Amino acid sequence: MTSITPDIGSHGTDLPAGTPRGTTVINDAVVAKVAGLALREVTGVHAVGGGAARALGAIREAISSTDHSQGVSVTVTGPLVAVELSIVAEYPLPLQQVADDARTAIINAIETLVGLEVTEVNVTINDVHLPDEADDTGEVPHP
Amino acid sequence: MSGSTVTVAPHGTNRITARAMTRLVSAVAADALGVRPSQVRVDLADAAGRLDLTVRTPIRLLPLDRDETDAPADSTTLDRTERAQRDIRGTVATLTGADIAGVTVRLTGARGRPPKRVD
Repeated sequence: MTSITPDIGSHGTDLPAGTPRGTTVINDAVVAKVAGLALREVTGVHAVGGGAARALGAIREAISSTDHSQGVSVTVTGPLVAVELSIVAEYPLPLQQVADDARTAIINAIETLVGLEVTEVNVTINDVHLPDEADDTGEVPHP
Repeated sequence: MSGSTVTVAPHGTNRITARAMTRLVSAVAADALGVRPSQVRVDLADAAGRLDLTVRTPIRLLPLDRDETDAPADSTTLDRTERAQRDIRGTVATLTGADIAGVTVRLTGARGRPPKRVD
């Protein structure tokens, strides 16, 4: 949980300069959700989250309560955010490029939509999805 | 996670787990040798901070009745395996950014049937 005190004193009418007129609180879950949604548009990110999170996510999706922050863990310290991310990359894209694109998308989303500063995004690529294989069965689909 | 490859980026680190690396190497090896990724066994080892790969895989043999004029000059099984070994090394380095010390390819069998292709 973090609080931002907007600096509105300069154009406030009756209040002396620097006096806040309330606080804005942005919950960590909001930051994680914004980050998770930003990942959907990144090329090469096949899925987000570790094995257990993805299995649970498949069930949640089936009952229409998708957890958008799956696989994203945020730590907010004042106006600074650190993000830990776990993804499955698409084969055959360069993994460093996919990780860097995911990082850039998350930094852009959090800095523009939430207005917090991102200090670091640590990306873990926990698996690679092979297009030839049906999901996790190891069988080649018939033409 | 143990056995993962970590790269430092400007705003954080990129970590590739051993599972992701294994799957990627098996896909690259399968492409190079004409077999399925599930038929390829990959061992990752540390060689003084660099990555050492051992790939155990069958190879798909070229048909014996093919037209001799189409055959590339280096089409013996040994030549194809050496080419695959170089392909694996180059492609894995490009895709993962890992510093590869060496690639060992061990052929464990041979397959004759041509692969089914969608394209």
